[in-house]
Amino acid sequence: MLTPALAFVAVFIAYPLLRGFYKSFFDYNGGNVDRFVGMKNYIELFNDPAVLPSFVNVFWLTVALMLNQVGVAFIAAWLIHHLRSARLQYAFRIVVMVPAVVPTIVGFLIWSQFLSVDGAVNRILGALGAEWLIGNWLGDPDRVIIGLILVGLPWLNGINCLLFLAGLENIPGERYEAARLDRASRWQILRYMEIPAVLPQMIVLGVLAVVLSLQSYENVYVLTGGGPFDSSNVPGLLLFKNAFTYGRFGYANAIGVLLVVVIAVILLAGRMLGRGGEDR
Amino acid sequence: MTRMDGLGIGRLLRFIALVLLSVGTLFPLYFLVVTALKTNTEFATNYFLPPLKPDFSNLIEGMGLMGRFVMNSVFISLMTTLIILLVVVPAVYAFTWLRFPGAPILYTVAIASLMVPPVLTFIPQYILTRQLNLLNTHWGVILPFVATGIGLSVYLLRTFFAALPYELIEAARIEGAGEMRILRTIVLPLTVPSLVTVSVVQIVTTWNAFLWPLVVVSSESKRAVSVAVTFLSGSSQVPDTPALMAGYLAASIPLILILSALMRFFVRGMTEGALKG
Amino acid sequence: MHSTGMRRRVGAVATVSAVAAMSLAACSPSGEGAETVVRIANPITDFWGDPLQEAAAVYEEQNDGIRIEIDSVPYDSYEEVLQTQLVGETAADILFLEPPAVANFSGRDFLLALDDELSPTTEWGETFVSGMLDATRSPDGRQYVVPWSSVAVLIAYRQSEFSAVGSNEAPVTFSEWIDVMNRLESEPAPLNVSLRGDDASLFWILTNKLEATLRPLTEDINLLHADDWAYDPDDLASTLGETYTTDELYVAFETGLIDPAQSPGYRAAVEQVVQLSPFINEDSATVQPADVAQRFGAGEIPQLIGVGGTIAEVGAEAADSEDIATFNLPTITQDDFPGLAAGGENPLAGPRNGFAVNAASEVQAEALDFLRFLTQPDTVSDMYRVQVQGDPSAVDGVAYPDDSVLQETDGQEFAQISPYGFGAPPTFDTQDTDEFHAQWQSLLTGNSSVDEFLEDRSASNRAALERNLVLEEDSIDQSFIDEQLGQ
Repeated sequence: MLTPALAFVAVFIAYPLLRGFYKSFFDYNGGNVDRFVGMKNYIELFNDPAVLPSFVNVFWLTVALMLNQVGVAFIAAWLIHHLRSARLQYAFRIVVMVPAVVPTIVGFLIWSQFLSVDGAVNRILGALGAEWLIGNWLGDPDRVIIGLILVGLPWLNGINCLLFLAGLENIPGERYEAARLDRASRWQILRYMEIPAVLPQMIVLGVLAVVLSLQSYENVYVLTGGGPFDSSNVPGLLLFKNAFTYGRFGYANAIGVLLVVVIAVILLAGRMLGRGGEDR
Repeated sequence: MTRMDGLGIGRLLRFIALVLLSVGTLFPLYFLVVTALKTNTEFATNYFLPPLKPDFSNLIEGMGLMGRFVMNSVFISLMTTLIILLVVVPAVYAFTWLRFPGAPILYTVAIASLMVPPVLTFIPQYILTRQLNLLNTHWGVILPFVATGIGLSVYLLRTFFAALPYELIEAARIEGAGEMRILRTIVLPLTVPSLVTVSVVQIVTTWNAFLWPLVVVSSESKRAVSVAVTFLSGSSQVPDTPALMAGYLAASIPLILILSALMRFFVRGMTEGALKG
Repeated sequence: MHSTGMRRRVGAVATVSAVAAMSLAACSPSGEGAETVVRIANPITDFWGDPLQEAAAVYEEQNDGIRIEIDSVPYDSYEEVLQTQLVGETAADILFLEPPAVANFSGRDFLLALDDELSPTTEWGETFVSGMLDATRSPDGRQYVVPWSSVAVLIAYRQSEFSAVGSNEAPVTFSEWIDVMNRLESEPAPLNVSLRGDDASLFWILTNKLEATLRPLTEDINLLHADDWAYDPDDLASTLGETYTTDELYVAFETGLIDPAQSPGYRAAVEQVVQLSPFINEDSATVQPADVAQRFGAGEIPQLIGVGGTIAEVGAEAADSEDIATFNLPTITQDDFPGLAAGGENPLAGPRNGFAVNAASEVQAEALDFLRFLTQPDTVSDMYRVQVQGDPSAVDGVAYPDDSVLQETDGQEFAQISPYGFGAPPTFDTQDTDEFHAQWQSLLTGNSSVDEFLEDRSASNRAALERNLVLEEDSIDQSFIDEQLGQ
């Protein structure tokens, strides 16, 4: 039952990954330079002044993304779940789902305009009397990460929302009935009944958000290119630049391997967390 | 179905919160639609508001273009999703309900594609695809996408499979049903919503994927819609954003149709699941 | 029959093509009757798609048995696609490239060296505007690219706004220009630029000034030269065939001649450009080049730095187009830098792009033959008629359509050997370039001082030169380096 899935992964993921791992010990530019250099790339990686800040940046982006993908999506699901009208429920399901078809590049375009010097964000701040907060959100190294965080935030992930909704719908009606008879508050129902019901989804989606965020580079690449003055680099972008811009595939692979290790650790931690949840 | 009782005002506030969230979520779609109906000149002065005079020429051009490539994308994304479901569902069943040696290691391998940044495997995958003689074919796009999608699908589905009561499976085993039959007759019908969700994720991801189909497929007639629309984007000096948005909009119409068909399954599956549960 | 390309020709031109086919088949590796396919990779959104298609059809008609296939790739993803295909050994035979990509790819042996066919003294070499070949040479001193179109960087301005502040004539010297900007009151700023990596207009100015301030050092840098070589800045022929090789550049760097942290000429050029800093828009680090052009077109800002083609396009579309005029970038003078002995700045003009031949191509002879055809003045003139282009040709003697605003780009005034290559920032490889953009943004937005900039530049330049020494190991003269550096 496992063979077909594992065969696909072995051929198209594991083999290229092993090849990439092997090449991370090489000085390799895809063309005329291809020689074994041992640990040189890894030593350079740990001495590269760009690496640590890039992980710090991606940490903040990841925290924000997780809050959005898990927190906001759950809140939306919870709100939809408690709508009285079945028709409204259905309508909102569609509303959260349809925007998933819009390519992410569209969101980037909108936000680069929102965050520009005379963009919506600054205008709203001005209108609220918070002039001291006005600034160049993507052009100021002190606030570019905040700008990038905003880019993901307000829209909820429709698929995550539907997954939470499915979890909530699985709670049998009798349990709500019982809770009502016990005069449980809305907060108690949320805390002791609804959140535990979707906890597995929360863990899975949270881990997924972390994993995808750690690999991501497109948002930074499109919006700031890692700037201004390299202040918004992320590991995924370093990997991308070293591979596709500098042609330093050996070093790029070393960055990639480091990312794989970090992500694997997080996945395993998530798995253990998930087990803990199941045992309870 | 049970509903919460609450004060009218609380309900109103919750409803307003939901509407606000929805407005935010729908904004990119709104932007896509209004921009697609602008000329490049109007877009330069009016970024967000609806066009004063809607201009449909970009959209018509986008639709015409899409018409030529839509079947390529339909084939690629549906085939990718179908194969993923075919290989992933038995695997997840095994990971969830069967005890066998080496399971944790094999599970880690199965979700390996989640851990690997695509940039790292991009060129090795390309060389592999060339060696398999799949360049410039749709299968050269589909097969690596299947592999890439397996990790996410296994990871998501496992949660849902694990949520089914074990007694159901055990009862069926006692009655003498084989594992494949249990999977087909008991597990699958109960997990339709999660299967649909995974399908939606895969279809949308594959449909919007750009770089891999661009590199693998070189002949124009086999091009995916996501690649074809970028040819509308104007020159590097004077970008034509409305034409690009019109292309994206046109390209998303078949996607919406496919998704709404799937959503019907989703809802039906969910009500059935609720009845049985 | 077997060919798909045959569909184009319906039996006509039979005899002519039969003769051509026979002569070609004699030297074609694919043998008699078989069709040879030459593939060209072309970034589709950069205008040349349709004209190329037409030219290819004409060529196919003249050369039986050859089919020209054009692989169109969106401009934004062009380099990633080419990288993947070059490493995967599936890239097209002919690649349409811009200068930075040429330097990047040639350093990795992906491109065929064309020195034998295309030196300035060969018949083919004489087809091009003077200086064009020298400006397209790669850091290893070789010619990999057949120049195609050229650019000139200019400043467009609104005459009424300049005369409103008392300047009835365009500024000639740099201090005059600064003076005008001091008086111009405009929001968001008198000078709007995009300092992102994809906008060249401002760092080109620096590179151009550096080429002038480093020019007096030509004889000290170009230590490995032809036996009877002598440099004369006023004799354009005096630098023919001479280039700065990586070992020469490394020596010049280590001896301080071109080290940003040590060279007075380097500092003078930077100090001049940094005077622009107070006049630059606040969002310079984030705004897109196209948005800056749009601001100018809409009349929001008084002037625009850019390549001639874009300026002509934007200017023609502006409502007050008759108010718009252009001036050349003010040059650095001996007042600014006393060491400037060998002429001022050359006009900021040179190659925008060109065609290179894939070193792994199996049809190199055919590819070169097609490129020879493509760079004949008649072919180029015909191609401009298919679609009016923004940039003039690198080929000499092209007849432009009557309705175009194009003019032949000025050739160079002073002979020079470029340390950095045209169209690029003053850097030695792509990573150096990337670091340059960050440092440049930081300098011009007032976040780092000139001293810090020069130190950072020095470190990045050195690292890049050291990488290049490794890359070009085979052609590096280590004994020369050791001797010069006294090791």
